[in-house]
Amino acid sequence: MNFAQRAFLYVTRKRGKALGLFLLNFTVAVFLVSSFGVLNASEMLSGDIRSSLGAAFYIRAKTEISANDFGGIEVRESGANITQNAVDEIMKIGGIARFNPINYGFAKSDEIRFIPGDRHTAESDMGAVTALGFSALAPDFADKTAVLISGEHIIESDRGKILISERLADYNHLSVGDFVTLTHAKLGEIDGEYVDEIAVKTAFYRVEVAGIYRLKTDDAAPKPTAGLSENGIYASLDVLNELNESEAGVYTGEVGFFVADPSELGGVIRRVRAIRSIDWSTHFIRTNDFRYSEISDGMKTLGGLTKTLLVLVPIVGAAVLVLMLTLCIRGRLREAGITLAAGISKSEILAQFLLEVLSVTALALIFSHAASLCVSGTLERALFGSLPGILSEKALTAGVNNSGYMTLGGAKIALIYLCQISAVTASTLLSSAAIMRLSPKEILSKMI
Amino acid sequence: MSILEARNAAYSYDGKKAVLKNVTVGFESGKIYAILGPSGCGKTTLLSLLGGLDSPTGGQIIFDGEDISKRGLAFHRKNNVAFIFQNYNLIDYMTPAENVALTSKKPPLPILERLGLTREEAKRNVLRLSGGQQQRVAIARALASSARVILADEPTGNLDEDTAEEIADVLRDCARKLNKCVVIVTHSDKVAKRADETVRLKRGEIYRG
Repeated sequence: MNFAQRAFLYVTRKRGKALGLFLLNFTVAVFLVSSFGVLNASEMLSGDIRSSLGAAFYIRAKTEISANDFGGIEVRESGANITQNAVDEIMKIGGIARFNPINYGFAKSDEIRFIPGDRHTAESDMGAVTALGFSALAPDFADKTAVLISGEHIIESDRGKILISERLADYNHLSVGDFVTLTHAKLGEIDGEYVDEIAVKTAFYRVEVAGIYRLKTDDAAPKPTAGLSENGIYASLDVLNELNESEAGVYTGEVGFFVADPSELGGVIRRVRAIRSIDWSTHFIRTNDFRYSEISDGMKTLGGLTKTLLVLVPIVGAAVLVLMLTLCIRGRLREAGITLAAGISKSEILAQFLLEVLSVTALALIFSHAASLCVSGTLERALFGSLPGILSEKALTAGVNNSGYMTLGGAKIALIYLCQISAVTASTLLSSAAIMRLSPKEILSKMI
Repeated sequence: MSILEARNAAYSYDGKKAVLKNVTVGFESGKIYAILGPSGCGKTTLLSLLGGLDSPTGGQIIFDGEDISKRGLAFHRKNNVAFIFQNYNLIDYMTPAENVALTSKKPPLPILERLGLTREEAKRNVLRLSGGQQQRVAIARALASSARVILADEPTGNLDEDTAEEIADVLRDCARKLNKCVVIVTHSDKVAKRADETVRLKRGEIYRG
């Protein structure tokens, strides 16, 4: 009987001990891979927070709010707008990754019936249009009030593309890739009735449904049809231009500027305010760091915890492993004596012990790999699922999807497993050394 | 002619306490020998030296005319001798058949059956056998090997009288029918009576009185 046959018999017959060794190796491997996964994620995130999460400031014209003759509130734009020249000047100061101009307007279509709102009429059957460069950077998508569920986001180079809500799509049996013709509209109110102030339609534009989004909140108060969030249309910038509701290179809504490094936001805004060609008496700036300050504190804590964990897990794991293997192998003194007396060499006995331990370890590592994927996935969702990584190239078209942070590369996993196998081999050799140093007679005398 | 021989064999722990003093004794094939003597007289030490479990601190152990240290003790243990111990020393996670196959390529079942174990018993875990059955398995393991010398250290020490006599008979048959040299260390007079020759040790020396 050779050492491999003896090892097979031991592993299959001493199931309790083999299972103990399996579970120990399994647990240590899962902990190691998960801990390295968290470390990997925290490293990636610290980079992504600066390059992908970003921060933003928005410039828009000031509005005047006053009470109207009917006792309501009237909001008046200052008439100011932001031109492409101003945008170009702002972009020159550096530190800004992207800008996202936004224009607002309304649109109707013979092929779309909008979801009826308050005091709905055929004339008020319209939706609000938000025309922009990057729909993924729109505040609703950035704060995840809206999530793209199919298709792709609108990007700067798109022409004639729109995003519509899931409910509006269902209501009109529309899906991604469908085309509809839009026409211009303007919501007004006469004698308490909502009307379309553009009676004669002269501008039409055929657009493609590029994506469908889902809203996470419902409109609370009664609103006109065009005011319902579900009737909102995100469109490429050219759509409102083609409908004669905006002018190319002139932005009447707001323009968002996205800073690659959130920690630089304050400095960038100071430099922007110093630009004299913009009339700051008619414009104002609001900022959004996308919870960078909260996240950065959390990341520091997470990084510290992970490093502690990474030091503790291998030490505790190796200590338990050595202890268990020592106990296990010293308990086999009798067997070593019997096999030595039978003329089996010490090297063959050592080979048997190693083969037993390594075969169980290999099996544990295979199973631990599957378990690590589950653990990493769960931790990833729990730790990083809600972070808005909005500036990555992928997020600009496919929306935010914080996955893969904890996924370790094959080389890293192989290195972890190799280290564990080395530790197991070294532990077995060290534990066996106590037996191997003894002469057969000494072993046999200890057996009695 | 002796197949196994101790020539002026001496053994001491740390070079101080002499356990064996210039012991010269030879053992022939086809015979059963009993080594007798009071506790601590060096019986087991002599058996260990004969079996290559340890090296003598003086003198030589000769097998078939050659000093066993020339080819190494492991070679001697593997090829020339087989051990039977008082506490059977079977590997507890193996069946009797697997224990017998530990050092032999011969089919184990015929040997076990010849020693009185059924096929069903040969496939049980060894710990589920009686003491006598376990000792039979240990003997079967020794017989299955190609060793020409069987060294037994108190092989009946843990057995009742009837079983002890049965085991002694089995060992005597091995010597006679298989032309093996069987050397038994024992305290039992009944076992000693079945031996062809007895060797008495007293304070580490052969006692001729």
